[in-house]
Amino acid sequence: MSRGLRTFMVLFGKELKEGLRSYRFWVLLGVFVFFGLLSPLSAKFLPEILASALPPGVTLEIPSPTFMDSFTEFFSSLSQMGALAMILVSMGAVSEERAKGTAVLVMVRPISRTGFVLAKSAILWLMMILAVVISTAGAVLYTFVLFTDVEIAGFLLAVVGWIALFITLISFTVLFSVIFSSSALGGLATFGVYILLSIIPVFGHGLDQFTPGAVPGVGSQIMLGEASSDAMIWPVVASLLLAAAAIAAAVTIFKRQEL
Amino acid sequence: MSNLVVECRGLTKKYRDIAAVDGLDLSVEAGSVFGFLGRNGAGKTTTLRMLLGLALPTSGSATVLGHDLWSSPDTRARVGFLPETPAFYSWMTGREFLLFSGRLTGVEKADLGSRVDSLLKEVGLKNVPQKVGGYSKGMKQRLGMAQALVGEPEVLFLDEPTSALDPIGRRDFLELISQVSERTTVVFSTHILADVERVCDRVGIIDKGRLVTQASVAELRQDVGGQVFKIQLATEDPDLIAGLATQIETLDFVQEAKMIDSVIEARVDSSEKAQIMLPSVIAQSGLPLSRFEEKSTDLEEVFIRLVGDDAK
Repeated sequence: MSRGLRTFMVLFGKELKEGLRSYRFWVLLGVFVFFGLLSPLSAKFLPEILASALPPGVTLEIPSPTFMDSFTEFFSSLSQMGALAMILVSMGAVSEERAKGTAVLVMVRPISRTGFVLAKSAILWLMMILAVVISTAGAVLYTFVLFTDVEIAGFLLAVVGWIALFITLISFTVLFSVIFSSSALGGLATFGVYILLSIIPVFGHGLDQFTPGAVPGVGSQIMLGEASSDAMIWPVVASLLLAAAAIAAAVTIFKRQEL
Repeated sequence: MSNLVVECRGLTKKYRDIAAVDGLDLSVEAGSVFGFLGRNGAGKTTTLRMLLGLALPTSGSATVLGHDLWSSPDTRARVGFLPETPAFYSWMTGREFLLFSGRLTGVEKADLGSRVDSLLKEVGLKNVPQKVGGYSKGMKQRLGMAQALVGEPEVLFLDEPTSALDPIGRRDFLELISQVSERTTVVFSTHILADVERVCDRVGIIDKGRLVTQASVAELRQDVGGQVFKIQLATEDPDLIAGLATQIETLDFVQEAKMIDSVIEARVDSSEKAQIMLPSVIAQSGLPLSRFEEKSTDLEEVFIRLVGDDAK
């Protein structure tokens, strides 16, 4: 086994144990499962809750909710609560190790710095994918229970798009945690990138179809049947390319960094 | 063939315009316990960081076992390091951290378990089940030593390892260093002179990023410190005592003679000459002698003479 692969495997194992023992993974999973289950419930019962809160004699005309409302609610939570939880959990990936001094006792070993960054990124990606998949499963289950005529193909494709977008976000979190010594600053910078990616599609000219920020819009279009499943290819590819660039930058910078 | 395991040639590290290490030349021979001595901020830690490949020199070179550890990370498998305040993953037990360190160092799986158990026994942490987060400073320092030794290094770097320890912890840790020095070369950075005297056989003194001197402890005491003779007279008349001190200072083998609390302290180049000549000079002065004592210069005096009194 090459040194790089050995480093990666040992560090990946350590990151996995750390994620589980420090409750980071469980917190992330808890947040994702919470809104995964809550979204269908909220979509189903919100009109009734609103109606019951109205004064006597006042009526509210709200169309009966469908499974689409459930999935829309899910993506709304994913884009806000999910993104925030993910940034908070991953923003100190490298900077915390540097600040605490734990990185020194790792870096004086015969290991590759590339392996160090990749192991951290991989475990964060894995944690996020597991959280999204379990959360999605919960949302689908409750949607099937609460709604009729449920179509999930478009929804699942949109989820794949979101996973790709979140891989990009995590990669930027890792990059900023290499660049900045403060975890909070790294988190803020990632949040800035997230907002920027969300704004870019507004300018049209293909930016609403071929950039990572196009994932939410294209996902909705696919769910509504307004776009074919192929439409998700470019936002996913763009997200993964951007993620790869962010990780490459993180590795390059970390290799030159003094500890 | 060179017997040097650590070599710095013109090693310089600048932060903006300030030189933390300034043209340092240093060499450590295999098998020695090398005390790297300097006051706080002298450049010791920066030098160690460059040797370990954690920082890049501005100019010059720093090699360990003939390699620059920044560009030859594989050589790090043959090197151990204990920082001043080692930081561990608080959620791991000591044993888990040593297993993790051993795997990263490339220790064979078949050997790792027994080696970790043996190290835990050696540092007195064998039956400690708690997580590292609950360790005392002394326990962390001992675990730090164990992790530095897990790869059976040929060179062990210790950066101010006793600074944060209480007297008993310090004594135990120095004993540990003595044990370890039987199987590896030790480079021991510190500003605590008593620690160097106790465990080191060679010393490099650094001040303001530059090497002031490098020699064995005995050579330093002899060549820099010289021998000191204490002369106490059966009189407390300061004029008489000062007069004799002045007379002694004129002798060619005497570096200096000064009166401290009615006692004359004469620093000499030659112990033999002093043993013969000083009693006769005192006798000629007609002053009654009550005590005549020879003592070796300690490292603290040598250090202060070399780097200046503000080192106190």
